Amino acid sequence: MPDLVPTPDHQSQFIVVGTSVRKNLDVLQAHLTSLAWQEIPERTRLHFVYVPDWPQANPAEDYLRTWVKEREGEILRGSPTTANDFSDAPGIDSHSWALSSMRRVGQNKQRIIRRALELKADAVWYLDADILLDTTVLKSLLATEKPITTAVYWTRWSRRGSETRQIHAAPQVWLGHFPSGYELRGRGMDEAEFRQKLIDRQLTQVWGFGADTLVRRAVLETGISFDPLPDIPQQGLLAGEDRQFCIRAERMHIQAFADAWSDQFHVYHAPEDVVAIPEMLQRLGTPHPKKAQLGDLVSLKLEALEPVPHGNGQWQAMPRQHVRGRLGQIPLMPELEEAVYGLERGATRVVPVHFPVHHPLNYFRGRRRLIRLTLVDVKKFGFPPVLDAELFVGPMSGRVADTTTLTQQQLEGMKEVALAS
Amino acid sequence: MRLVTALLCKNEADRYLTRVLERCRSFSDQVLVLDDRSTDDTVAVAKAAGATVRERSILKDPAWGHETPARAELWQWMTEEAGDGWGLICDADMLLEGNPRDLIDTWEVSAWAFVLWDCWDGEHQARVDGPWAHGPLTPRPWLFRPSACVQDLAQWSGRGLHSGHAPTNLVGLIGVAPPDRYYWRHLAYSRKEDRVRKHAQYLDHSAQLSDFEKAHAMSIADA
Repeated sequence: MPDLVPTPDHQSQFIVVGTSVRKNLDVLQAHLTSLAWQEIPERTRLHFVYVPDWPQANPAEDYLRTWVKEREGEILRGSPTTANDFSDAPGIDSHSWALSSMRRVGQNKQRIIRRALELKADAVWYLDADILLDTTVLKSLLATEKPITTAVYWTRWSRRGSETRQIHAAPQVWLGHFPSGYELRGRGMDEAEFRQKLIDRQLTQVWGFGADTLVRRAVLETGISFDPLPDIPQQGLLAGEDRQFCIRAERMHIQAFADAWSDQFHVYHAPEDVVAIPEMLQRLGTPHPKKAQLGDLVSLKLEALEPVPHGNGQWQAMPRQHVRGRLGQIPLMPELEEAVYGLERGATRVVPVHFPVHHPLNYFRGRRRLIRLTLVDVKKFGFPPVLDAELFVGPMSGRVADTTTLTQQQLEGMKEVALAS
Repeated sequence: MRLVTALLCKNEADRYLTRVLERCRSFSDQVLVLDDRSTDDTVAVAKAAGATVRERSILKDPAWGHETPARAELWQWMTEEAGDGWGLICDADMLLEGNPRDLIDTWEVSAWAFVLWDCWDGEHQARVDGPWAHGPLTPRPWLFRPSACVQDLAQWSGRGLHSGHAPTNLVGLIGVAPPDRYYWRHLAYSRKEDRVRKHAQYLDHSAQLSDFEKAHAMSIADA
C-alpha cells in the first residue's frame, strides 16, 4: 500500500493546547478569551485538552467544559485532587506548592503528552490557565521552528520585598537549575545580559522554561516526561515538575528557546493582578498593524538563499536568522529595511542585498546576495506588561528606574514610552 | 535577466500540457517545446499556448529509450535562446510551485536545485515510501545559467533512460531553492491509467534500468 502524504501546499499542523487547570472563573474566563483571539496560521488546527484539578465543585469547571465543547477538544480525567496542597491565597508571599501538588500536575501534564501522541499531534502547547495572551503568541512560537519554544512573560514571583531585598519582575525562563533551581546567570551570560536580551524581545537559547511552551512531536517522541528524576533532589524549586522536564531535555541535547516577542500578562497574585484583568485584556486584544512604520517593533525571519562556504571546500545552507527590534534602530541592510516597509504582516519576499566591503561576515563582503525576508509580526513600540510598570517611575515623569542594567537604547525607548503615556 | 523554459514532449496533448505551458509562460520570457514526433495534437496545443515549437527529425531515434541525444538537443537549443540568461528544464507533466524569477537574480550560483513530489491519486498528495522517498528529500538541479554552469563542451551520461536533463560536467555552485516554497508537482503518476501505461513503458526497457530504478518501476503498479 503506497505511503501518501500531502504536498507542501496542503500540509497542515495539528496542535494540542492544554494544561492542568485549577483557576477561578474570573482568571480562567480572561485566559480563554485571550486564547480565543489568537491568530491561527493557515492550515493549522487546534485541539484543546484540559485536565481539571479543582479540589471541589467550581463554576470555572462548568465554564471550561462548555468552552471546550464549543470547540474541538476534550477534558481528561486527572490524578485525584487533594484540597490543601496548593495555595494562591491573598495572604501569602507567593504561590505555595506541596510536593504532592507538583507530582499531580506533572502526572496531569503527562496525560496530555500521551493524548497528543495518540492523536499524532505535531506539537503540544502547554499553556497555564492564568496567562493572558496578545493576538500573535502562537504565530510567533510556530515561526521560530525550534524543537521547544517558550513565550516569555514577566512576573513578580514574590509579593514582598524588604529593606535589603527589592523584588523585581523575572521571566519564566532561566539559564540553569543549580544551585537554586532557577538561575538567570550562567552559560557565559550574567543576569543583566540575559535580561537585556529578553527585554529586547530576542529569541534566546535557555535551559529552563515554565508554562507557555510549544513542544514539537519529535521531542515528545523521545519519551520526555514530567516525572521526578531519581538523581535530582526533590526539594525547593528543583522539585517542580517543569524542572524534571527541562533537565531531561538538556540531558538529551534538545534545544529550547525563549521567544520574548509576545506581550503577555501573568495573573499571578490575587487580588492585585486580578484587578488588572480588564485593562490588560483591552491592551493585549488590540490587533497588530498590517504594515510596519518607522519606530515599530518588527519580528523578521531572514534566510540567505545561496550557499555559504563551510571550510574544506564544502558549502552549506545558512541557518535562518530571527531578527527582532525597533525599525530604524536594528542594523538592517538598506534593501532589507526598505522591503520591510513594503511587506504585509506574514508576507515573504526575496530581496537582493548588496553587502559592504567591511561587513563582519567575511564571505558576504562586497557581494550581492539573495535574502528571503519574512515579516513575521509588527506591533507598536512598547515593553511587555509588568516589566513596563516596574521600569517606569511613573507616567509623565520621564524618569526611569534602572533596575536591570539596561542599555542606553532601552533607556531612551522607555523614556519615550513614559512621556507618551 | 532572461529566463527561457524548455520542454521535451511526445504525445502530451490530452494530458497536462496546456496547464504546464501556461504556468511556464507566467514566469518565462520564452517557452521552447522540442517535439519528439508526436502523433497527436501536441504541436498545435503548444503553439496555441504561445510556445516556440521545434520538431525533431525523423532520422533521429525516439527519445524514450534513447534519451541522451534528445536531451542534448534540447539543452543546446535552450542554451542558444537563453544567451547569458537562465534556462529552466521542465517536463510536460510537471508544475513548478514558486516563482523562479526571484532566484535567477544572482551571480553567486550557476544552477538551482528543486525537490520533487510524485503526486499519487490526486494532485495534492504524494507518494513517499521506498524509492519514492527520494523526491522530496533530494534537490536536483533544474534551473541553469548555461553560460556559467558549462565551461567546456557539454558531456552527457549516454543513458537511454534517466539520462539526466543537464550535462554531467556542470561547474560552479548549485543552490537549493527553499523546499517549502519551491518544488515540482510531478503529475506523471497521479492518475491510475497513466501509471499503468508508464509501468509498461519501463518494463519494455528494463534492461537499461539499475536495481534501484527497477524497484521504482515495479512499484509504479502498486494499487
